[in-house]
Amino acid sequence: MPPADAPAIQHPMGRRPIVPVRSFASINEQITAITLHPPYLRNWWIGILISGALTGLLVLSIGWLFIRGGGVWGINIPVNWSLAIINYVWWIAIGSAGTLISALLLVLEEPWRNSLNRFAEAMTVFAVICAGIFPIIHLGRPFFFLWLFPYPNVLGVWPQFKSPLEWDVFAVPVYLVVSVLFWYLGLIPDMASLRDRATARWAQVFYGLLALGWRGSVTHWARWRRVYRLIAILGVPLVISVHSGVALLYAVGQIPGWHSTIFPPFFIIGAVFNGFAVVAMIAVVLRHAFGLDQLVTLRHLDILGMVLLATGVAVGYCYVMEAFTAWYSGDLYERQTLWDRAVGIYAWSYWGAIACNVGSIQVLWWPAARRSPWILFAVGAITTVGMWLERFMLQTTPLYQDFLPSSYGVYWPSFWEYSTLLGSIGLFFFLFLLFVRFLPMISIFEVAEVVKDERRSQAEGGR
Amino acid sequence: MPPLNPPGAWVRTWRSPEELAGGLPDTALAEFAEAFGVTEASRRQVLKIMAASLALGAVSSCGDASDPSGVAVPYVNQPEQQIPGRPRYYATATLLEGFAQPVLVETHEGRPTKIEGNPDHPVGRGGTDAFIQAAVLQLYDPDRSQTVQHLGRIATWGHVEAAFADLRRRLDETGGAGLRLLTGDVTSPTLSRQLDRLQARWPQARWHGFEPVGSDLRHTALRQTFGARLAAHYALERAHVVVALDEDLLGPGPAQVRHADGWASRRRAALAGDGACRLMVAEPTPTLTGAMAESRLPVSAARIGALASALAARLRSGGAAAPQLSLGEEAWVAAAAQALQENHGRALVAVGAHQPAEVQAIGLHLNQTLGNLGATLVLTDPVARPVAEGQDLLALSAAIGTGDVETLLLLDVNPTYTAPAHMAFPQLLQQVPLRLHVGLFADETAALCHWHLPLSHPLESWGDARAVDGTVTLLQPTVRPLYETRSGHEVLALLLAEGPTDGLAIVRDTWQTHLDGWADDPAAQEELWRSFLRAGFIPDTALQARRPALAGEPAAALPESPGAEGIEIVFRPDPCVWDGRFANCAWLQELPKPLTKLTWDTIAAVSPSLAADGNIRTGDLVRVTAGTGSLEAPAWVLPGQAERTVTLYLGYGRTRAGRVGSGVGYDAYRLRRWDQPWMLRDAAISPSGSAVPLATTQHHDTTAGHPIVRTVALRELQADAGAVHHEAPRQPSLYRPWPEGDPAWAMSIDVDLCIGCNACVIACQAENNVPVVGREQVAGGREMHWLRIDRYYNGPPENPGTTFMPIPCMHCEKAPCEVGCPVNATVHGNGGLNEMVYNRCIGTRTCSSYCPYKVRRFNWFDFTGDASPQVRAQRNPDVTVRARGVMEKCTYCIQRISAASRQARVENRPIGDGEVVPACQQACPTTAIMFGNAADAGTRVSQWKQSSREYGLLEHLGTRPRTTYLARVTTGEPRGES
Repeated sequence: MPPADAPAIQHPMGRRPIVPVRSFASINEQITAITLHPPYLRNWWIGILISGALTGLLVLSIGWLFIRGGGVWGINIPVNWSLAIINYVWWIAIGSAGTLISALLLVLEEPWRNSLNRFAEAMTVFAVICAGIFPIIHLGRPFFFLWLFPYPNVLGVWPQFKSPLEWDVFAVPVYLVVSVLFWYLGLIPDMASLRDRATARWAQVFYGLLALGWRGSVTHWARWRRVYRLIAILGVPLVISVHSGVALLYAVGQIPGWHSTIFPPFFIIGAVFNGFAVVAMIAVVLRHAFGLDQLVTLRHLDILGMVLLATGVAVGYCYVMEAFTAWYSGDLYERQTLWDRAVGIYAWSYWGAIACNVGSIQVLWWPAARRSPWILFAVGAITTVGMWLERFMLQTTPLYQDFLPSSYGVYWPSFWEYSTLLGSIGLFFFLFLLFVRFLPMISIFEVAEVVKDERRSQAEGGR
Repeated sequence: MPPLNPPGAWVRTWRSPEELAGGLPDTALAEFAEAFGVTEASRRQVLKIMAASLALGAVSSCGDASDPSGVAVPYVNQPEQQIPGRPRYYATATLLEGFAQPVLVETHEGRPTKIEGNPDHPVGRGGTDAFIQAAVLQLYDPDRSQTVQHLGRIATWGHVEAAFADLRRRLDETGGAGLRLLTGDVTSPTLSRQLDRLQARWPQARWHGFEPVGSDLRHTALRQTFGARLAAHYALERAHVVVALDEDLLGPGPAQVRHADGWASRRRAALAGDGACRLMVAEPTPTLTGAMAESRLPVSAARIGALASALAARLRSGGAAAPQLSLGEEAWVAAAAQALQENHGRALVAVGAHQPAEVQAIGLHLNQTLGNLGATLVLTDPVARPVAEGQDLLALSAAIGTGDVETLLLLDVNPTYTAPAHMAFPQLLQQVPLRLHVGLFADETAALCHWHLPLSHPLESWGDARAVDGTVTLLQPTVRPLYETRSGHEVLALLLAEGPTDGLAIVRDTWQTHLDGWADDPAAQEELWRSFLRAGFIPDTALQARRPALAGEPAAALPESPGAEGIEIVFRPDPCVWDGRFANCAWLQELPKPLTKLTWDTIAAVSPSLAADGNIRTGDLVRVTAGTGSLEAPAWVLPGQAERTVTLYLGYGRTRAGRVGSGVGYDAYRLRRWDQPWMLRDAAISPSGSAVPLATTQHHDTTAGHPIVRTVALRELQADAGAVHHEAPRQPSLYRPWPEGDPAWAMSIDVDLCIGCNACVIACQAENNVPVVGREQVAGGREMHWLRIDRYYNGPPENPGTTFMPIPCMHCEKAPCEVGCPVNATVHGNGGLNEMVYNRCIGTRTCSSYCPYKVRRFNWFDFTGDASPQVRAQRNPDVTVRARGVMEKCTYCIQRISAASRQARVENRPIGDGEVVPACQQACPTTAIMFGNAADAGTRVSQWKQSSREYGLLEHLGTRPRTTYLARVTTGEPRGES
């Protein structure tokens, strides 16, 4: 087995191997062992307690909100959208990468996805769950959220389909369902592996149930592959629709700084950027924590860094175009919003977003930086913060000074908004820790597929 | 009810004055503090305590002996004229400084809910001000005094009667020696009659009058000039040129509605080509009058005399020699003099009642010279009972000091709070052996009195009072007294124990002699009396104009104008709580003050240059020192303030106003002086180093260069009727056009006539059950007013132009809000209204985010659920009370549209023009708001919209607002343009 940084061997695409060649059994052994004989259990417990406490904070924050009302947040007229919407957009963006990595790259047959897709998909599901909390708690009367859905009812009133919020009502749940389905379908063969290797009774039953009687027959594989591909093809446009919907939430309003046709692509690019940043962070951490550097290789990190760089540059382009359009429109209100962004009281969010999202990624032009796990992690963390700042900037700067100077007002998030954000991060980690404990965080059979391909290409190269 | 004490036991407490010479026993005060020491309670707690107080109110009204039936029985036969669900209106009046403010009160099933102006009354013709509109909330104020109190303990009217009997015996023996009465201004013929009667029975007794604001100096000036007691009335409807010297003609006060109405009719006529309507103002502190002026000169209050003298010199009106003026003053005086000269007999020089009598006298002489007397300045006999020498508060203080006062009856006054602090009135008061306080609230004065008798609110009592023009206006109860209270007339009748003690009978007695003269038989008299009650006033009782001869020359020399170094303090009544009497009215506390847009607080206004010199910013606490006194107040850098003038506002710093008003702001009476009530010189101001947050509703002063407020010069308007103000041709739209049919409800607001008085804001609040949210929420940007008045400055901060712009919902035909709502909670309704469906709203707030005008308001908390039963009684049953988490906004008073359309359908006819009048339009004293059917070209709103001054706000967005504006007209030379 050649070392990970061995000189590149000849490959049809001119690449080094994605995953070092090894036996299928060793892959199987390594990944299932993490689940069945978990290492670092003490650290895991510490993690689950901390994230559980933060989840408790989330419950507390939402409980207080429901008891007292939306006024516990810092919102007002004119800025009547709080961190809730910002967090929603941020989480849903983080959730984009899993689907893109898994589905789009599956369809495009990019083998490097196979080491990343499982935890990226899990991240997507958990991020969408975190995101989904916010639109509901954002409501003044959350107990009537069901009125958002078109169901036959005695009121005889339907939702208002012209509203971009209504589009989100369709986009987000569909996205969640498809993401969960895709994730679970991908898990089924691995569940069977776990079932077969489990020694504890509960694990045999647990994984056995989840494996749905998978025996690995050729028929199973054929059917499975058909469905998996089909859902992957469905998933890709959903990424576009979800983030376009989120963008239109703003763009349909006539508020300067929102009312712009660039918003849907802008948001999609931002989402991919943000999603990949979080995937990179998770990849670095998992790889380090569980000694997976033979499965998640520096080659993976290199690719992640390149995607991050490409999407980050595109995000930078959107910033430039947004500013240019505002200036070029000649509209006084648009120009004023641009000015407010640059020098207003929320200028920190504007310049912070630019520094984090455009500035920090410049280091990724250097291959060494991309292949340095901790630099990649740092860039991922910085851009994740940067994307949050960007959402804050995009939402708040147009609202706080829109048209009539008499209704200008400022907004500062309250403790309960920050605690809800922190709590949602806690919930994310809580779910993710459960995931790494009980489910294979890397797709066993798909990595095996890659190894098989590598073997073949090595054999071909050696011939 | 407490057990009754044996009469002797409690009578003795006041029959032994020496026992009490040292003041109330500490225990009594402590009990008062316990009963009323609620300043610590949070404002939300108020609402909880309210519930308990209503229970008390219910108990007391059950036991009311004046109720002939005594038991409550549901209707078996429907009372005549009482149709459930249909409001009834009573013509009556509210009071400000004793002057009647004629109103119609809307009642629903016996609950007064809303006050409108009385359109038939000669004063104001249906306009109102904010105080009038808020009177209905004062009626329901749960902090109102609800029972008699004696030495801090609850007592009964039976106790009062016994005490009065004893007092009467003593006074009869001594001829009333030692009895003093203190009231505010008295315009009520009945009260005056009672006072005369009291004086006749007890010749040694004395009446004193004291109004903290009042117009004492005006009376002095008139007496000096004409040698008689007179009242001056401005006929602004006839004044083509008004030169106002520190006179806030259009500002708050008893005559605001009358002046606003007069000025607006003149303004309208002038725009229609009939003469002019020019307003030139010199004033130390910005006022609504200054905001409306075509030229405004900020000048210290002490310089007003110099300006008046200079005017007099130019117009050869005699008096002091022409003083030295600055260049700016000179130019202003020259322009004013020229305008006055050119408008002989139809101009007016108005000198503020705050100015020294000698300065006001110059103004009176000027009007005489210019032939304005009898035309624009009408003199009549005094409307209020004159306060002669020796009848003022100073004389009362002196009498207390010399021990001449044994019994003091304070009728609806609060001198403990309102008397200038240097008089030490609270200490003096405690030297009086027997002190009785009659008032709406157990206030600062009540706390120092042996007896506190709860007063009925004007809306629940019989009475009469004169309006500012002298028209006798009748007060009739619109509801049975909520608590065991009596009117002032009834209390005096109880004291005198002559004739009837029932309010109606007392008032009727006053007018019986007149009725005897007007009709012969009792039936005709009764019919006449009923017609007066229906109208709300007695016709043709306005005071007749008099043409007295001049009795003296103006003073040859005026007091020295101050040097440039000294800082002067001027005092002004607060535009929202006046002299402090409305401090406990939550609507008024939360009402943004017209110029500063400040709520729930008061400030010391400083000029921009003084602020720059002293490094003072808005919100900084400053120490204001004058003479030996000083106080700390938050500064406000007020554009247009005279350079070295600091304005302090009366009415705040109350300690026993109630749960809403206590402990809010500073008390300016602490610096006020009896001999210099309005102006102090050689003051000093210094930052104290700390700052306080102020809750304002508008943070930006200018339009930031956007064409929001538009102006057109009168010359242009007259030269080319098509000159103004549609931006671009309307953009095409994919959606169906509105109006699709008749009616198309629409509103037009004449910015040129809006004086920013806030009457519409409170009217809207009262009509539409708009909740009060408190200082913290306002500071957080969560005020709930459906209608706000934006105030924009243009030009230099030293002397900017000021424009007011009422902003209700625009009812856009292409409403951005409707696109955003995912649940169809805001939709377009019949008549083109943008409707809000509260019970469908789930609170996404998208509508507000998308609203370019930000007119929507959100229920961030449950602002209504815990309101007291009293406050609930005020609510309009035709308007939904909104729950937490629901968006709301102006509906164009859809309940009124609906009522009119139901009626029209019943009668099978279209809705007539003027049949639907929204609350804001109804309240407006200048009729700056017009509402109606824009689909009908014949309606007034259609005519307004035909005006070449018409423009829509943010029209370029394609929202097609149904609310449009008429541009402001500049007369004379344009001032600083934005």
